[in-house]
Formats: sequence, structure tokens, C-alpha cells
Amino acid sequence: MSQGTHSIAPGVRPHQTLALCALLLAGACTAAHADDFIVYSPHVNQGQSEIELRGFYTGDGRPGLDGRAASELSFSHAFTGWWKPEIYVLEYEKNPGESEGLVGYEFENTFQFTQPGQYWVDVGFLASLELPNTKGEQDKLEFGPLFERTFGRFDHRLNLIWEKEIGPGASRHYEFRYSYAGTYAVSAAFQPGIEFYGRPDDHAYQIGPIVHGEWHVPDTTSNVEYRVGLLQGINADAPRRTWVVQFEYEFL
Amino acid sequence: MNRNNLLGSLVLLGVLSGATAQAGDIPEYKLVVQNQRFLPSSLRVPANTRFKVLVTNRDSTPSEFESSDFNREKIVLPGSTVTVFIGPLGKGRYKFFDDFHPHTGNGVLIVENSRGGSGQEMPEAGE
Repeated sequence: MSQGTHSIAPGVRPHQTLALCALLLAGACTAAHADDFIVYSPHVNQGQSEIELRGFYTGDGRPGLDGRAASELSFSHAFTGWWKPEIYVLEYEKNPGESEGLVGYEFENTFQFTQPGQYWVDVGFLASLELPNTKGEQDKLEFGPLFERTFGRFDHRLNLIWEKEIGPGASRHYEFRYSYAGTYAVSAAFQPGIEFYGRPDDHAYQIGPIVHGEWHVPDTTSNVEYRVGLLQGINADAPRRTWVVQFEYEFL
Repeated sequence: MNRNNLLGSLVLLGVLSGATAQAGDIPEYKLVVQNQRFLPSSLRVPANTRFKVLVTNRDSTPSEFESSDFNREKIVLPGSTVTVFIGPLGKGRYKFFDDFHPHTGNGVLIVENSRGGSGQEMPEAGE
């Protein structure tokens, strides 16, 4: 299939990257779920609060796939060492040829089942409730296990997520997606790696390089985290390029 | 989602969940955060063995036990103790630090082939 043979982001220049990032963070463009491009960690750090902004933007020569985007803003707080609720207060989406719009809200929970490193693999669980504000859209439940394994500086994460409509008229269909992230911690601020996303229901599979890291804010108990990546579609139904951006402010 | 996807996912889930076998008794070490420093600042631990470090924060400010060398990050609130599971690690030196006090809170795990002494605190480096 043709998309899988393209080199990653041919012709994309740094200033174009910055412009796309700025656009995403402004929430000015956006479509599909930003949740589709995150690989959750099962780890919960008690007492920590987070403000997070993330989104994606697709670039593709085909009209149906070019210019899809989404962004969302969320707040979370880890009340215990095993439970972190997160509220998405703004979720924007934009589909090709349409204007962007506020699509709803979401209440997400991360449950940490095992301590990091306690067993061969760390296990957690994600459960969230999506409340769309678009007419005709059903409320949705998302749930599934989260796995993480570290080998020295290497870190591997795997998510298996199911999505199910709920309420009157809800479809019986369970939509499934999975994602993997593998990174190497060169330092706390620079952790390059790859991410892979599979959405069998959309026949869309994507892989690409990412880098994430964090900086401590001097004289505080706060950190700033970032994550940027460029995913390449590896089959015909996936967008050729998807830019992924995430910023997070953590504090106690 | 078709039946094959569901079946494949459940098999993978079962395999991964089954891998979470009981850790059993594992060597235990202790670290104290005091005056924004780790005491001791070095621990000798056995190679190729999973172990745990109990980190107690005696300061009145939070601390964050962190390491890029062995990928751990754990907040230690004032007056509390957290358990950090580490390893198995190969022989070598692995740095850790207090992310909230990076200029003072630094330490190192010295991983060696000897057993390292279960639960034994080692002298601070340089003493």
C-alpha cells in the first residue's frame, strides 16, 4: 500500500512544525479523538496534580484525511497512590472541510494495580466516561488495561482500550484500539522512542518517532513535561502523517 | 470489534497478567531524606536481583525520588515513607536524585555481584 512506503514527513521544515504545534495548542484546529494518540502509564504518583494540553494534526494529500485535528485540556489529581481521576474540561475536534468545535467533556480514571517494578510488568486500568455535547452523539465508556515495563533506561508501555456507547439507542459494538510506546531515557529531559497505534475498526495503523521529557521548575515542586511525535501511516486507510503534541504542568 | 480482535486481546491480556507472579521476599534497603539530602548517599545492592528501597522523608518539604538510570519516579511527602521497587540491574553505578532538590539530593546505587547485604544500610560515599 502506498502510504507505508513514504519517508517520514518529506519536505516538512522546522518552522512548519512549530506552526502546527502552535495551532494545536491554541485549540484552533482539531478532529477525531486526541485520546487516540496517547499511551497511558499505569503509574499514579500520590499527591501530584497535572494540567495537560495535548492534540494532533494530520497531514495527507487525500481530502478525507487531510487536516483532521483534535486538542483537549485536562486537570488531574492523584488522591491516593492507586487512583488518579482526570477531568477533560475542553475537547475540540475538527474534521476535514469542517470548522472546529467543542465536542464534549470526559471524566477519566487511572487505577494503579501494582507498584512500579514490583512484578515483571506493572499493571493498571483505565476507565473513562465521555460526555459529548453534539446532538445525536452517544455517551461513551472507555476502559482497558494499561501495562508498563522498564529495563534500566528502557521503558515500554502497552494499552488495550475498548470503547462502548451507552444510553438509549447505544450501539452494541465495542470499538477496540491498542497502542505501544518504547522509549530510552537519555536524561530526564530527553527520552526519545517510538509509538505505535492500531485502530482495527478504522483499519488504521500508525508508527513513528516521538520524544518526551521533563524539566524541574527551579525552587518549586513542579515539573514541566513535553511530548512531540510524528506518526506515519503504515496502511492505506491511515493518515500519512500525524503530528502529536503534548504539554503538561505537574505540581504538588 | 470483530471476534478475532477480542480473542487476540484477551489472550494477550492473560499472558501479560499471568506474568505478574508474586515477587516474594526481596532484599530491602532504607534511605532517609534529611536536609534535602539522601542518607546514605550510596547503597550497595546485588546485581540481577529485584530489591526494594524504603525512602523516608524527614524534611518538612516534599521530595521526589527519581532516576533516569533505572526509570523510577516517586513523590515522598513530608513525614512519609514510600517503597520503590528496583531491578534487576546489571553490575554498575546507577544515579538517583531528588527532583525537587537536584542540587543537594543526589545518590548512587552501586550494583555488584556480591549479595550486598539484605536490608543493610551502607556508609555514605566518601566516609
